[in-house]
Amino acid sequence: MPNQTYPGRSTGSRKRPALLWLLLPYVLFLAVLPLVNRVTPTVLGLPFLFFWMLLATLATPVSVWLARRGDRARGRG
Amino acid sequence: MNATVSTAVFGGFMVLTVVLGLLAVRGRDNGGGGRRAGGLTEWSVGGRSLGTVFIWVLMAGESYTSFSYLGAAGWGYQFGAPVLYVLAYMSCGYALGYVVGPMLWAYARRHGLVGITDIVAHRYRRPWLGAAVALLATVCLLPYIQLQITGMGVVVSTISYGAISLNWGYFLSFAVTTAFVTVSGLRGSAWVSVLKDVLVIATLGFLAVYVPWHYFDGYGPLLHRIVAEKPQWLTFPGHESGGLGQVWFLTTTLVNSLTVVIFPTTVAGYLGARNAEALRRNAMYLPFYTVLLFVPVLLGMAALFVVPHLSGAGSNLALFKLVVDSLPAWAVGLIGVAAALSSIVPMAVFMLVIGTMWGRSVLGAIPRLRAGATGAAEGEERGAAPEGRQKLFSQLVVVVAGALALLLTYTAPDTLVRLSLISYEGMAQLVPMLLLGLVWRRLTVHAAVSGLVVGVVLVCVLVFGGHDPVRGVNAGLVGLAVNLAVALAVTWLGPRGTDERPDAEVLALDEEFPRQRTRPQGAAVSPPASS
Repeated sequence: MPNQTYPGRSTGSRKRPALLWLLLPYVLFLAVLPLVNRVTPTVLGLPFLFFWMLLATLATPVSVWLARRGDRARGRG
Repeated sequence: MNATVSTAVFGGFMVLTVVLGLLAVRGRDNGGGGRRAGGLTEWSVGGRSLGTVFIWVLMAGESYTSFSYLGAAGWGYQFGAPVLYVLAYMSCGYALGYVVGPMLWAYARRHGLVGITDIVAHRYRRPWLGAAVALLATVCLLPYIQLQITGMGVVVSTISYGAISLNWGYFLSFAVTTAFVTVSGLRGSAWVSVLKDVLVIATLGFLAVYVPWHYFDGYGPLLHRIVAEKPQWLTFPGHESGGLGQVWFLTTTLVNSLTVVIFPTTVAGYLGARNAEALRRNAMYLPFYTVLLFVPVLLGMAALFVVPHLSGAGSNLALFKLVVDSLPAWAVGLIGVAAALSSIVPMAVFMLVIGTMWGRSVLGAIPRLRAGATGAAEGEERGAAPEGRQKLFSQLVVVVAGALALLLTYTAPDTLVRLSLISYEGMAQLVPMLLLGLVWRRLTVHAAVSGLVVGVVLVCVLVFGGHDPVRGVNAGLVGLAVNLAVALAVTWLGPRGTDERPDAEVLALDEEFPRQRTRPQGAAVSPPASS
C-alpha cells in the first residue's frame, strides 16, 4: 500500500469519475468528425463544419468546469 | 510618410516592450518573501509565484505565436478546413492540462525541479538522461525560434512598407527578445505577454468586424460568398491540401494534444504557477483564447476574394495584405506590433527553456561541476551557490541559442526548416517517458529510453523520407505507438529496476498539491479544505 506513506491524504486519484468530462472535447472534435464534415446546413451563415468546431471550442471550458465541479464536490478544490 | 508613421509606432512599442520586460524584476531581488535572491528558480519559473491572471496571460501568450497571424491565415487561404487542427489540439490539450498541469507542478515543487529535463533526471535518477533529453529538446526547439525570427522579419518589413528590410527585421526580433529575457526570465515574459494579449485581442477583435464590413458589407455576404464559391475549402480534406484528410486531422489532434501538455514551454508556464488551483482555473479559461484563432482563419479565407493568386509562402501574408490595403498607417503599425509581440513572447520562452535545460541538466550532469556546486549546499533543497552559477550559465546559453538561430536564419535557413518538420512529432516521443513514467513505477529507465530512441528514429525516417502523413496518419502518432509498445515490452522482458526509493519520491502520486506548510510526512497538520 504505497499510499500509506501519505496518511491523511485521500487516495482518490483512481476515483475521480468527473475527470471523464475532460474527454468531451475529444468526442466533439474527433469522434463525431465524419458526421459533421459537411458544408450544409449553414448555421448563422457559418458552414456546418466551422459552426461545429466553434461549438466544440466553446464547449471545452464547460467540460473542464464540469470536471472541476466534480473535484470540488469531493472537497479537493 | 506611411512608412514613417507605422515604423515610429512600431519602434515606440518595441522600446516599451524591453522596458516592461526589464521592469518585471524590479524589487524582486531584495524582497521575494524569503526566496533566494535572483536564483535559477526565480529566473526560470518566476519563483513559482505567478497567479491565475499572469499564468493565463503567459500561457495564452506563448501558444498564440506568429503562426497565428501568418500560418493560420495562410493555411486558411491555401487549404481551408485542415487549419482547424490547431484549434482542436489546443482545446483538447487545455482540457488535458487540467490533470497534467497540477501533477507536474506538484512534483516539480516538491523536488525543487525547474523543467522537464530536470523531472526526467529525478524520476529515473539519471542525470545523463536529463542532459540527453535537453539535447533532443534543444534540437526540436531551435527551429521554433527561427520560425519566430522569420515570422517577425516578414511582419516588420510588410508593416513598415518595406522601410525596414527583412534582415533588419530578423535582427530586431533577436535583439528585443534577448534584451529582456536574459535579465528577467519568465516573469519578464509574463509582463510582456500582458501588453501582447491586450493588443492581440484588441486588434483581432477589430479586424474581425472591420474586414468583413469593409470588403463585403458584412458577415452575411462574406459567408454566403465563401459557401457559394469556395465549398472545397470548407470540409476535409480541404483545397488541394495533399492528404490532410479526416484521418490526418484525428491523428494530428490526438498526438499534438498529448504533446502540448509536456511541451517544455508549456511546462515552464505550469511550473511558474503559485499553486495548482491557478492551473485548474486556467484549464477552464484558456480555451476561450482559442476562439480568437477563428479570426485569422476566416480572414485568410476572405483574402481569397480580395488578393487571389497568392501562392506558397506568399499565402502567409494573406492577412497582412488586407491590413496594409485597407487601413491607415498608424493602425497598420499597431497591428504589426501585436503580430511582432506574438513572435517575441514565444521566442522568449523558447530561449528561456533552452537556457534552463542547459543550465540545470547539462551543466548539472557534469560531475566535476556538480560536485563543486552541491558540496556547498548540504541539507538545502538546492543551494544558492550552484543556483547562481547555473543561472549565469543559463543566461549565456539563451544568448548563444538565440544567436545561433539568427545566424542560421541568415546563412542556412533550410536547415532549420527541415528540422522544424520533426519538432513536434519528435517532442511527442517524450510522452511515455515523462507522463507514463510519473504514474507507473514499473517503467524502467531502459524501457523509457528504448521507446524514446525507437520513436525518434522512426519519426525521422518517416518525415525525412517524405512519408508524413503515412497513409493519412500523422507520423508522430505512429512513432508514439511504436515507442509505447517498445517501452512496455522492455519493461516486461528487460532488466528489473533497481531503484529503492519509495514511490512517493519517484512518482507524482497525489495530483493534489501539498497544501502550504503541510509537511510531506506530517499527518496531523493537514488542514481542512479552505474552500
